[in-house]
Amino acid sequence: MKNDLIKPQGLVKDANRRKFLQKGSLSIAAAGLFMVGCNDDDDYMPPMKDGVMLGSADIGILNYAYALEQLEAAFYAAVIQGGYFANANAEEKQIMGDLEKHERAHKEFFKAALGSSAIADLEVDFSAIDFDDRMSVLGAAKTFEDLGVAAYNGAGKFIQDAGYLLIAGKIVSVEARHAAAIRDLLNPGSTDFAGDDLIDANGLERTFSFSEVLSALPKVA
Amino acid sequence: MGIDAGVIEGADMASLKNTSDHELASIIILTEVVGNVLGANPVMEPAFDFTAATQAIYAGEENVMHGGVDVTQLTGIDSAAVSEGWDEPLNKDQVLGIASLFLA
Repeated sequence: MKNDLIKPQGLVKDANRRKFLQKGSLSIAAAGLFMVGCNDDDDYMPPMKDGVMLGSADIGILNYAYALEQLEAAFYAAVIQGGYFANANAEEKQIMGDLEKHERAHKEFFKAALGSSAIADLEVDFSAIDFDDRMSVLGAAKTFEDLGVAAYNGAGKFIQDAGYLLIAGKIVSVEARHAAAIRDLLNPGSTDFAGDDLIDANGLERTFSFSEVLSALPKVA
Repeated sequence: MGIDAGVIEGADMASLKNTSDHELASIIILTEVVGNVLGANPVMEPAFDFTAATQAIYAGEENVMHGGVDVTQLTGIDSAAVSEGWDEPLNKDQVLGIASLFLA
C-alpha cells in the first residue's frame, strides 16, 4: 500500500493542538461543516443538524478550502483593526498586512471559482482572541496557519481535477510560508519555523483528514 | 556542504541544520518510494558544484492569473500581494535548467 508508506507518522493527531482548539473559544456559528459523498470511510463526516453542506467530490473540497480561507480572512481582517496591529513594529505590520491580503485573495478566489456552489459566508466568533495582545494574535495565527497547511495536505489526495490540485498546491506552500513567518515572530531565530511539532522524522508535515479538521473547527467554539 | 563550511553562526546554524535534516529525510523517503513503491531505480546522487553564480530567475513569480482568473481584478488587491499569495509551479525542464547550474 503506497499510501501507507508515504503517510507521514506526523499525521498522528497532535494532542496539544486539539486541546488548544478546544480551550480557545473561537467559534463558527454554524453547527458544523460536513462533506457528503466522500468515499473514504475514515474521512466520512456524518451529517450534522444545522450543519453547512459543503457538497461532494471536488466541489466539496473547494468549499472545504473556502471555509478555511473564510476563517483565515476574517481573522486577519480583525487583526488589522486591532490594537496589536496599530502598535506593531514595521516588520510585523508588513507581515500581518500581507497575510490579510493573501487570505482575502484566497477567499475571494474560491468564492468566484465555486460560483453558485459556494457555501454562504460563515459567521465566526473571535471573542476569545484579544486583538490588542500580540501573543494572543500570533498564537491564534499560528493555530490557523498550521491547521490550514495540514488540511490542504490531507485534502490533496481526494482532488480529482488536476487544475484544482495545482491550485491547492500553489496555495498550501504559501500557507506554510505564513506559518513559518508567524512561528519565527513567536520564537525568532529558532527552529520553530519548521518545528518538530509539525514535521516528522520523514521530513513530512502533518496531514489532517477532513474529519479531524472539521471536528476541530466547531470545537474551536 | 554549507553547514560544513564553518561560516554559519549561532541561530542561523540551528535553522540550517533543521532544514538540512528535513532535506536528508526527504531523500530517504523519495529513495524508498522510487525504489520500493514504484519499483524503479532511484537516480544516483550527482556531483554538485555550488560555486556557480545563482540565477535569480523563477518563472511565474509575478503571476496574478490563477485558475484562469485575474485575481487582482477579482479582488482589487494589489498585484504584489496577489502574486505572493500563490506559489508557481516549475515544469521539469525549468527545474532541471536551474538545478543543472549546480551540477559539476
